[in-house]
Amino acid sequence: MSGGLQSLRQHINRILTRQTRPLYLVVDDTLRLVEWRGDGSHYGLESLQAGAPLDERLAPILPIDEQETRAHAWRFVQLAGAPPCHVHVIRLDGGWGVAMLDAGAEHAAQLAQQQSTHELLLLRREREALIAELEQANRLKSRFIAGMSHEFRTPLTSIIGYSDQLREIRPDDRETQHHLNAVGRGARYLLNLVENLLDQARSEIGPLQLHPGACELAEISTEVEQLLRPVAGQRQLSLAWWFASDIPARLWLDAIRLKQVLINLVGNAIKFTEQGGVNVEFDWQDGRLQVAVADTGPGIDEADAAVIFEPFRQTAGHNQAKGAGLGLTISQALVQAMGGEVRLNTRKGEGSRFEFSIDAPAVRGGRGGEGGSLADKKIVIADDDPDLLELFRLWLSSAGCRVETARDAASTLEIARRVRPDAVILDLDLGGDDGAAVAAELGAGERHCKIVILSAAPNDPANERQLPDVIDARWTKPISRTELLRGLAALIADTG
Amino acid sequence: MRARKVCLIGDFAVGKTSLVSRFVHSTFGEQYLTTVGVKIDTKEVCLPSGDSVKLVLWDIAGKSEFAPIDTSYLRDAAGYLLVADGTRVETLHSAVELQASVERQLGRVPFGLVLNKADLEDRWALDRNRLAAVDLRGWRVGRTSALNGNGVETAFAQLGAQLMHET
Ligand SMILES: Nc1nc2c(ncn2[C@@H]2O[C@H](COP(=O)(O)OP(=O)(O)OP(=O)(O)O)[C@@H](O)[C@H]2O)c(=O)[nH]1
Ligand SMILES: [Mg+2]
Repeated sequence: MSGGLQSLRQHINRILTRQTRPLYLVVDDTLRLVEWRGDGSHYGLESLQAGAPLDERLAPILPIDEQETRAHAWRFVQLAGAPPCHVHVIRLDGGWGVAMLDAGAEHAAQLAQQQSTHELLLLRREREALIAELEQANRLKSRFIAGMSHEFRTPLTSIIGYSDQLREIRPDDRETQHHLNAVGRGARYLLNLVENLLDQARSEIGPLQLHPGACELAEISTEVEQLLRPVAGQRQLSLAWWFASDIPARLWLDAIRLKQVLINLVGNAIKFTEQGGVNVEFDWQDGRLQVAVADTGPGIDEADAAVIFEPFRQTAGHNQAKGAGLGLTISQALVQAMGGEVRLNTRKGEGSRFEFSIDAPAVRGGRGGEGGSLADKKIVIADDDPDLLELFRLWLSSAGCRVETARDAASTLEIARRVRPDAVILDLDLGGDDGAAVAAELGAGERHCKIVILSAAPNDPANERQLPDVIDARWTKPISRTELLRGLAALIADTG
Repeated sequence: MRARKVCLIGDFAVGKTSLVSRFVHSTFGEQYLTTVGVKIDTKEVCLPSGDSVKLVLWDIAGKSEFAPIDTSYLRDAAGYLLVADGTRVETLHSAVELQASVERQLGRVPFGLVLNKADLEDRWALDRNRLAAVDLRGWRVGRTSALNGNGVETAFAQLGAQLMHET
């Protein structure tokens, strides 16, 4: 065993030498070669000989401060014509000693790891940039849709209002009645579609806003019935409404939004049912209204049921896919805003049942002001849309009101000063003028009239801003003749 | 003629190696091959004065969120070129931070900043506001493209001239 340690060291030295192929160089201060050991050509130094100038190769890697440096090392240096190497330098008396060790294998391993890390980081960054870009585009799209939908509402409101008005003028002409019904239904269908689009776009920008008030369930269901009965009739489907006996006459909720949800759910049920019909059931308990919409349609399989509330989905297998695919998404969002959740009970082949409950406290007391007379009441109404203005004038006149109309801030204020009205009804957007500012000015002086804001849409961004506290009521368009007159009666009618 | 050591410093994949290979060898590769350690190249530049200077370019592995710059390579550098990628805003912020730490080690030596990949106009992210926001007052800032060579020669020549004035 004697000399064993030495054998081992020699063995390891041989291995290390084979791996690192060390080149030892000694040069004088002018960087001319004095002596060397090792294979120079491996490091790009062909046919070494004493006295050869090595400044080309060595000058870049030798420390500048000759006096201070005793030893220095560079790791992973790549010089032209040489493999990656570790370089060790020591200061000698009147020159330098330089050792170069091949680090190719180590370098390759580190390179592989660093390369994949960097490529991953670049990919991740690119993905983030793409996502940001898509999100931006999506926000722009939502804003565009919100803007467009809003533009559709005013003309649709005027189509619906005028066709209703015409129907009243010619109650006995059955053919005209029939045609006008079709016009009204078509426009209401479009309006609902537009409202869904608007809400979807708005919900992508911010939370949905509710504007609850006192309303009657019977009235809401009648309106939905009138809209959808003919559709059900055409397809020979029954449409039945069931009310539990103890539902309060008046409930506090957002009637427009509930109507929208019902139109969506009932309309959908009719659309997908071939035979039988649709039942709508209402119940009320502890301040919450429970609603179920059940059909005898094909039912929905589990996979479809899981995604049915996502936007723009139409379940596969329905050959009559129509509409925008937004009804259920919006209904869910609206019901959630009203404090509930739409649930679906269904099995393939056995029909579907959509259920939800929402906050709907009972409203006590009689119908304030109803039955009171509006005869000879002086009303000023301001709106920048001349067609709507004319429609409102017709409705109010038919109830005996004396109506003045205005289309901008200045004339509204001028007329209000002159006629001393009982009520002023203001659109928020009066062309270039601001309805809220007019309201503030009207309210600032001696109060002699009720001030009502009638604004474009419950979810119009403009509605979310602060309004002056002089306002007595706030209604939203589209508004029906009944809603308008009843609301006004509650404010200013002579009772008794 | 004296040689001057110049380090290229910046985030990973901003184009340090590509700038050197454009400047020294007049070549460009699409493929990204990251640098481990340092690559050393030399090139002489002619200055407007008619003089010339030999630049010893130390192309140092770039910084990433997992690895800082290995500052041991900065030793003896006479100047440095900060490189940012004009399509990646964060690489400009990195360059600003790196400048501060390099100056702590080397003191006030000449340096320049280049915004590389100027050929990628439609993805360019460093508009005037962005540049003003990182407060580059007094810095020499150039736009370069290692791909087509624009601005590359100028950037190195300007730094070379600064290095000579310092002597
Ligand atoms: N279009 C374009 N691509 C470039 C330019 N410069 C570099 N690239 C590309 O960018 C990638 C990275 O270039 P490199 O030069 O390896 O970057 P680096 O700064 O040395 O990266 P590290 O060594 O990892 O720090 C490569 O795919 C190059 O082809 C340029 O001016 N224009
Ligand atoms: Mg590189």
